[in-house]
Amino acid sequence: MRILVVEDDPKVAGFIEEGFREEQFEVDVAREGDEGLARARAGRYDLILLDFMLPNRSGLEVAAELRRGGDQTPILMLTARDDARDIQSALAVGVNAYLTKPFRFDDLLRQVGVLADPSRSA
Amino acid sequence: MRLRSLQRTLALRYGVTMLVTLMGFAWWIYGGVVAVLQRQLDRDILSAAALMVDVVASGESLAVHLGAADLPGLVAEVNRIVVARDSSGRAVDSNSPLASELPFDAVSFATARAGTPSFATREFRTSRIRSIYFPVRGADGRGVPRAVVVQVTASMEPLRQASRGLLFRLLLTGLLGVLVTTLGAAWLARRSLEPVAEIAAQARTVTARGGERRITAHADVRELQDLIHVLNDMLARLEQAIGQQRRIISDVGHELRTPITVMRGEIEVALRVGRAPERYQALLRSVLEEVDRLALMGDELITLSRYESDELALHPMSFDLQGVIRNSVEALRRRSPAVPIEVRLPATELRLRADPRLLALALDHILDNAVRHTPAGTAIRVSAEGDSTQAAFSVEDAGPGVPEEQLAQLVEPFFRADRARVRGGVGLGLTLVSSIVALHDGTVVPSRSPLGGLLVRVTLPSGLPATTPAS
Repeated sequence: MRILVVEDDPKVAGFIEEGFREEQFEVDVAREGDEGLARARAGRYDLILLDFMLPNRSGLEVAAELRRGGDQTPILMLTARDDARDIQSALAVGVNAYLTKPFRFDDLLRQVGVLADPSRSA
Repeated sequence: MRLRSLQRTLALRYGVTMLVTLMGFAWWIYGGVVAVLQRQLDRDILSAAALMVDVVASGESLAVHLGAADLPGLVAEVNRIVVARDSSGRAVDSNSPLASELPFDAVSFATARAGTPSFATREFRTSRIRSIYFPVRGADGRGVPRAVVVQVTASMEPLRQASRGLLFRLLLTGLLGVLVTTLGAAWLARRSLEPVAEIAAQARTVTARGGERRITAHADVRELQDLIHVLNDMLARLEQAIGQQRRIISDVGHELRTPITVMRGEIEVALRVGRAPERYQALLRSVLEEVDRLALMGDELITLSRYESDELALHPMSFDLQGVIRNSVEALRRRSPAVPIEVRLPATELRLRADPRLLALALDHILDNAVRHTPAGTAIRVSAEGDSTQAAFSVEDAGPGVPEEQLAQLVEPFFRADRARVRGGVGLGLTLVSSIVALHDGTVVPSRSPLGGLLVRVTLPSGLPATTPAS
């Protein structure tokens, strides 16, 4: 499984990357919006893990841009905000699911499993 | 505490004033009218007496001018009883059988006999009578030979009834007047105070969740303008304060999530399989960094609440600023070991009289701010300088900096030049810094750094007497 992690906080990106690697996933990390968008377009990923708050281009904008370009890669959004409006705008833009911080790593893995392979039940 | 009723006080005072006024007025009128009636009666019997004297002097019999036959007649028909008296006071002629019963006033008789008319009031049966004793002059021989005084008597009963009636009317009118006007005054007082009650009722409906609510009742009444303005000002400030508190609480809640996410994530991943001890040590150090961040957040909150309630107290002492700078840099190195810190300090002491704890907090905030914004790997620079009159320190980073037009807003609460970039703290770091610096009569100036990012320079007066030599 190839996963793109777009997260600006080095520590958060760090433990996600380490955890995913130990699950035998291939992981690429982008530290800000523009880089994330570029990598997503360039590579073929099974899942994109996108933080809501990013430098340069917000996670929401990255997701919107990808969907506008026709990219259907599943997107799981991480957010510290649980504002109903923010979640609705994320889903409206085409994000497949969201996970609020702080999250359990097991929950993250489970969500990744469901999104990357829709035939698997939750 | 027993409350005074303004309404009752006003009405009572008004009522008492009215009572005194009306009663005084009534007494004055009553007295005047009764005096007039009295004089009128006297004039009546005087002129009747003058007439009767001629009759007596001409020799006519008084019986021809019939007077009242009895008392009721005397009263009802306002008749006069005329009596002619001889020098000993005996009645020698009269126009009424009542004459013999009439009381005799010797003093007045004597005065009249001496030549001066004289009035007398006497009790007669159930009421009073008024008599005039008039001297008879110049009898021409044909008159009643022995009459020397003519007495004309009238009943005072009509006068008494008239004045009673007047008194009754005056008292009744007066008391009714007092009652009605007092009730009117009470009503007026209540009406005048109603707006106050309505304003209070409106103010009560503004609760903490009231939102944009202002007093609008009676906003057009001049006398209440002050009250309404003051209340609305208070409501505005209350709204602002509550709004700010809500934002702080919400911000804190969100900000706490990031260190918690890091700690939880790192610990959970580390625990998934057995690890080497060095790995666990690295984990613990990382978690400790987050703990330090949380501690700083706690400090910010406490300081903020003190600032909000004006409790930020200054405990000044004399110390070397370099010590504070070095401590804060060390703490920062522990919190963020990955960030290189360049320190440029002068060889000399930087003596200050200030509150080292507060200055350390301010410096910590500025340092944290720089670390948050500086790109990975680039260093932040801390420098300081000073002389005998002042000391200054600066913190610079190579981050994106802040646009010119936003520099001034940096010290406003909750302002973040780019929200996405903030991690840790509650967005009021620089506000706290400026309030701490202001307490010391210093200045904090944000500007563009030659490194490319933000430069924050804090200048503080040394607070020491000018005679202290620079070391």
